[in-house]
Amino acid sequence: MSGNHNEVLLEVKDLKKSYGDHLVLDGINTTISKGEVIAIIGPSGCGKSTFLRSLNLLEHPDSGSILFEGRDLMELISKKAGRQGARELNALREKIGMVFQQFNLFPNMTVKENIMLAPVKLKLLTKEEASAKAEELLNRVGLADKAQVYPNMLSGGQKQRIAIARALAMNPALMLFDEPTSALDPEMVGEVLNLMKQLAKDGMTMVVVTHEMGFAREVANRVMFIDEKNIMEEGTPEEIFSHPKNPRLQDFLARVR
Amino acid sequence: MAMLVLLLAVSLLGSGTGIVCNTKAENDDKTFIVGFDASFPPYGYQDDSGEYVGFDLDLAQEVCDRNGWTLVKQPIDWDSKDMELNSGSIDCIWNGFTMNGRESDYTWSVPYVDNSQVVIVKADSDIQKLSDMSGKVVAVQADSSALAAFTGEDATKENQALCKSFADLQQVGDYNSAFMNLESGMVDAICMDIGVAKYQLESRGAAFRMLEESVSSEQYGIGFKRGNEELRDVVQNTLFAMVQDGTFDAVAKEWGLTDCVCLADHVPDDFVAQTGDKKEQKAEGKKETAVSAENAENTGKSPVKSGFFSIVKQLGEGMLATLAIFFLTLLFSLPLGLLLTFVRMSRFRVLQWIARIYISIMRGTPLMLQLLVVFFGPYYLFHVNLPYSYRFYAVIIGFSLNYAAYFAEIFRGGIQSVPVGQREAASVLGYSRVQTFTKIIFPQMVKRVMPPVTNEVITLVKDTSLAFALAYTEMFTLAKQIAAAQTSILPLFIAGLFYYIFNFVVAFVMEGIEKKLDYYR
Repeated sequence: MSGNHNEVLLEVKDLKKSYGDHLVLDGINTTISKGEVIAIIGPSGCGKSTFLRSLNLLEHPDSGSILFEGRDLMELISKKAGRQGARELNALREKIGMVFQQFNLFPNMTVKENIMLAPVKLKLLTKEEASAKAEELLNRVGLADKAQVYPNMLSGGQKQRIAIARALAMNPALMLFDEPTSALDPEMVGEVLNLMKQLAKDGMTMVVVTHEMGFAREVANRVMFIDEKNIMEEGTPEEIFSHPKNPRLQDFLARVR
Repeated sequence: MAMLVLLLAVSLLGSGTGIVCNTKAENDDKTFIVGFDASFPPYGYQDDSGEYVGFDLDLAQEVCDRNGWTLVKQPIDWDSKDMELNSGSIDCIWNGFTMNGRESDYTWSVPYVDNSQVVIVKADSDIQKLSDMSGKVVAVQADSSALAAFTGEDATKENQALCKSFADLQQVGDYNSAFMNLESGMVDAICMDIGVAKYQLESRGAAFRMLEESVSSEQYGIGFKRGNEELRDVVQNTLFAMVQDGTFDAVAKEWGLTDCVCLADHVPDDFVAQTGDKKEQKAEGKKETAVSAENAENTGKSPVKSGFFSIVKQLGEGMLATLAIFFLTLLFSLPLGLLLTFVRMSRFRVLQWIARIYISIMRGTPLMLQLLVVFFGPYYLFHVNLPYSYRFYAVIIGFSLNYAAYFAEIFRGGIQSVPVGQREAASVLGYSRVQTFTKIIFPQMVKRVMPPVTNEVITLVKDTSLAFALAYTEMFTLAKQIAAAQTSILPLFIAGLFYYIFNFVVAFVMEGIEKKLDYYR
């Protein structure tokens, strides 16, 4: 694994979230450093997706703080921050890429437009630069020939690779993956995981919510087990998979194996 | 495609206002607006060249010529005549207008036609006299003097008793449908004004006959807004002068109404017109006022039945009016609907509720009623007199407000059916709300709402006929008028054909748009 593990990129302090009366996250604390690849595992409904989606404020936590590059994102969604806060949040979000379980490609645009639109719209790149960048990314994900087709012509695996390329076009400092292979047919899981491995090798900081234990063991340098509204255990893949301490983790691993 | 539609809409906007201008006159005191029911021959109707003609309109024209006024012939929806008169949209009702029973509702001229309500039955009917109508189904025109003769406050005891003996007294919209009812056996007899009856018998031939007994005697006058004696006197004095110089009788003769007119009886003995010898004219003008069935063949003008293409030509202006309503309504209601969707989906509760209530009212009440409110509301609520051309604008405003409500709900459904993931993906890419809407949500919404929008647009084509409520002469109103004047149902079939072809084209165009949007799923 490459990367400098000392520089802190994201710091989460005492994060709490509930839906109505139902508490989902109860005071989570963690730190993510540059170059880290973190796999989040846990039983379904344990709050791992909510945690991930809180990191870029797709879900608004009730309390706590999320420090990204030293700026507290929670302050930006407070009433006091208003429109200025919303604008600043949009700007910070550009640096946090996200890949969804359901791909969420824009069906009304070609593959290339999907990739180009945000950098051009947000004036990060000119049209020509964005076009060159899109072609480079399409090469990287191995789908250069699909530039002009619409998403409905692609297989699930291809869609997810395009979604990853779209996120990369923003040059993110951090990539969040929300169960990126859960909606795929088994034969397509491999192509997406391989691409993610490649990303990790290139030094991208990644947080991946996943059910793919093989991927977590092989690629992650830290594994978080979330259950009972909090991080129950975390450590290297070796520690988590070979020497689990918490009985709930042992139980979970016995079930998924 | 969108360009083409827009172009069409713009060009129709031009022709739409053109229609308004045709009938619009300067809104000064030199305009004399006569309100009449355009399906009431021979008093006022549309001839085969598309002109509004009739005994009353000829008289009105002569009165205007003598006073240097411009005559505006305004066909009205009979049920709205009082609102039209009170709001100042018309100056008078001059249309074989029965005075009896309405004496205190208007400022009246002296009576100029003495009319009777007579009964028409099929030639082979067993009804020979009034008493034979017991147990039969009888039709009258809605809000007509025949109806008043049976059920009005001043109805005679005999008439009330006669009415009670009927199996049913049905009200129909116009005489053409009354005759269709009679011919098909849905009703056994029709009761109507004698002048109309003679005209109808003349054109329909031997299949029908008139009972010798008549139901009640009544008189026609010109109805002015209550208190408007000034205008009444000017018109009336002009008519007196026309009696004295023989013009009045000449017109009456032309229309075959010589036996019915009675104005000469009411010219004051001391009335002196500028020219002419009064006594001589009066003697000539005085005629027997009682009429009987044998006089039917004396009718001067008989209806001309036009062929298919001639009727299509006559309907032409109405088709343009229908197209104008259609395209202008779309032009305004689609953006208005989208705006309403935004308000309805706003973050602010108050705005949400305003939109909700608006949509609920517009969808929950009849469009016809909304049109009446838009047109007459300014006068009845705020006593504002709006210019003549407002009639057309009111139609467009009413339709646009109504259709916007439906479109708003369709758009809202379309927006909500776009998966939430689309918004999330846009949001994590740093899109603002506006960017997300214009680039991601709106294009997908358009595709999703095409089928329900097509439905709504097709309904709109047919709904345009509701403009008749404001007496805006779109195609179906015109078709009914021509049908009444020619005593034929062919114009109605042609109108139906037009709607079908129009909708066929609409469906074809919408299908084309859907196909064009099919490049993605």
